[in-house]
Amino acid sequence: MSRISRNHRDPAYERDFRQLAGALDRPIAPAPEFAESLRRQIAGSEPTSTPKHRPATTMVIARESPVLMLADRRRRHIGFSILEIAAALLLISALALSAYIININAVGGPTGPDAGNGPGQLSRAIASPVRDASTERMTAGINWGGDKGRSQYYGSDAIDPSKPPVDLQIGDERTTTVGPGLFVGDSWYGWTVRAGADAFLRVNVATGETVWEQEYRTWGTLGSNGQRIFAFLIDASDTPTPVPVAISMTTGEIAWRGPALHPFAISITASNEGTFYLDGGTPPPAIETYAIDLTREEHGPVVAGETVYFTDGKATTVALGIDDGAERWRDDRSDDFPADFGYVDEITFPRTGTIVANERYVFVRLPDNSIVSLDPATGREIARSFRGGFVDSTRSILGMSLRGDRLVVLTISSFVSSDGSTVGNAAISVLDAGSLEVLVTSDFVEGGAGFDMVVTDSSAFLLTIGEQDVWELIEVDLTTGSLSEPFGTGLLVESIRLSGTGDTLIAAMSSGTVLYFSMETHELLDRHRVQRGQTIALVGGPMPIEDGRPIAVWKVGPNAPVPETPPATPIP
Amino acid sequence: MSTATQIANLDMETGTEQTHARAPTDVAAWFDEALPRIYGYFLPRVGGRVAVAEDLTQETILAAVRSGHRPSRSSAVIPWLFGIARHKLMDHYRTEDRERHHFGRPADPDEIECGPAPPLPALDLDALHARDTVIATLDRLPPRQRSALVARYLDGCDVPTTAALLGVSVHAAESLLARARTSFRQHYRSLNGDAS
Repeated sequence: MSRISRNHRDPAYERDFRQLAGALDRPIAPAPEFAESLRRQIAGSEPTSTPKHRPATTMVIARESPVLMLADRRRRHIGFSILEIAAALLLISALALSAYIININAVGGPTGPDAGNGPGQLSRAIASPVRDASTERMTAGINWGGDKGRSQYYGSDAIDPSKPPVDLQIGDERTTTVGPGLFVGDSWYGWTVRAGADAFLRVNVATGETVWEQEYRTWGTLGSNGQRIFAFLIDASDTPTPVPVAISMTTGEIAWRGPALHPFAISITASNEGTFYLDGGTPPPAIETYAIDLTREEHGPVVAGETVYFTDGKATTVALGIDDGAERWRDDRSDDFPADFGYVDEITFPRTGTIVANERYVFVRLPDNSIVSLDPATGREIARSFRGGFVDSTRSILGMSLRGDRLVVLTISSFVSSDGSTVGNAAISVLDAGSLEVLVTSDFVEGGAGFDMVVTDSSAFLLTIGEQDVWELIEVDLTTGSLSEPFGTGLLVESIRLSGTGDTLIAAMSSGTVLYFSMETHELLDRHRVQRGQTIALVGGPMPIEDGRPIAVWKVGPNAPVPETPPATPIP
Repeated sequence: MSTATQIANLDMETGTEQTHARAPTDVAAWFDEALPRIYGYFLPRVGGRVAVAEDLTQETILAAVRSGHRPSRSSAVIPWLFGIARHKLMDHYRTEDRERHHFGRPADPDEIECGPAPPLPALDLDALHARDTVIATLDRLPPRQRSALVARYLDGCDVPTTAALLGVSVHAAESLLARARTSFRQHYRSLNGDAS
């Protein structure tokens, strides 16, 4: 510490850096495609060039001499028409450009032989080769499957990539947080914090208008049966007690409250020794730490038939009636949880309960990395996978997906080496849902440790993050366990969320780029780009709505306002 | 006039009258000149990554166009754009830093022992290799250290201004700069080997 003070106060100690002043700055012409794209956007953006700032056409005409106008009707008539047509064209062009900018752009242009290389790639073709996605943006971090990680959303609606997506901006500059939301019918439901106050919103997708707003906070993912929204209600404390609730979709009022459950480990810190420190546990200062965001653990709610299931921070599962919230059964596993909750000394991911369910099965992942099958009617334990089988002591279950009678499980190995680099691997195991017998385990996806997963009836698509922060998509055949060639490879530059519907796999990046891939051919079908402007944070989606348009939910970043007078002073 | 000087002199050149004055000329008048300069400003500061530089260039120019505020003098347009660009760049670094913290990258140590590190040699920054090495070295630094060095040395801000840009105290900025310089020197030597 004293050395720092001495050094940074010694002027001679920075002289070698003075030579850098302005030395790297050279005018560099960007790609012509990029320049042209930007020029077009400016034409539609400049406040002084939009029609509303221009004098009305009739005013221009009125400035002509009435005598002249009367004396030469033909000329006046022609002149009026030309001006009118010009103004109309200008107005139409401006509106088209505005729409182009306000909505997600189908940014593109003709592909050329050098498409994807060098400047201008963002402006180039929608239908560019798959590998064009490889230089999307720069390295920023690793997605460990947290809030912006696994979405595992898979819908049945066919998406139409040719239709412009809806750019639904939920938050503004006062919005500090936006939770994962849910699209139901014509609306988005979700929680935000606006200017320090909780707000649970229903926002009409078509109009962007807030239908209703309530002052409470939910946690984690939401569920719905089409009539109600189900969620964990929490307060704003550090270790909030989650309470299952049903929310009226019409008014936002709480329809019923379930029993209070165990708090979640909202944050987990992992050291490079493979030791994890959950809430309340503080790593020794000498250990380099890594933060893991697990706020999107899949604790439910899961709606299946007339029951909604929730599991909590100690893998206690409750089954509640969707109409009245009455507790039908409870499976309490809290005694199985490590006695010292704040310290888990294993190179595995400590997990609170994760649940998947349908009307025939309920599966909960337990803290010891086993999976228990519960009777949907009674909660009785039917089967349990044993640890050391497909999940040995070096692996951990990261995600589950239930497809009919098969349970698809994503497991990973330890995730960082002592120097902080990415190691480990991922594998998909397919289990018989009735017996929990392992039907097939895929080859290892080497070098990957940050994952997203979308599961269809025949395949699982993984988003893997390997060394050098390269992300790629891999399809795993659920029958044979074989892996496809990687596709959609790119540098990880931001958080990426994976979702899918129909035959379309969707990768949405927090920078605003949304890529659509064919699940069948792995071809890049389309590429849209949100005109970010001041919107920077992807907070949900994209998910398709009824007419096939995908939706992404965004909020304005905290640093969005452009300073009018940037502060600066010369070097003394 | 170098970019650094232009940015550093921004306040003196533009003053407060810039905020509500109409542009002396329209966007077309400055776009062609500004685009390569803004793009050239970003490219070395983001590790030479074209896509990132394009994104930031686009954000900067669109923000300028949409703001509706222009300097009253045409000579002040470019410094004004550089001012916006620098804020965009700092936002980018902040985002990068957040991503590192949130998604598994090691947190920057709060304090490190700054061991003796030989100063940088005199660099011929007109030579491509030297420029590339500096850019690559910058790219290796943690985002906070990189943002401090960029603001202080590449953009020519004084320490209080650098501190304001980073949202830290002057003392914290000095400490951060000290760590950043040491880190830069070490990375530079590691990249350049004995040649340094």
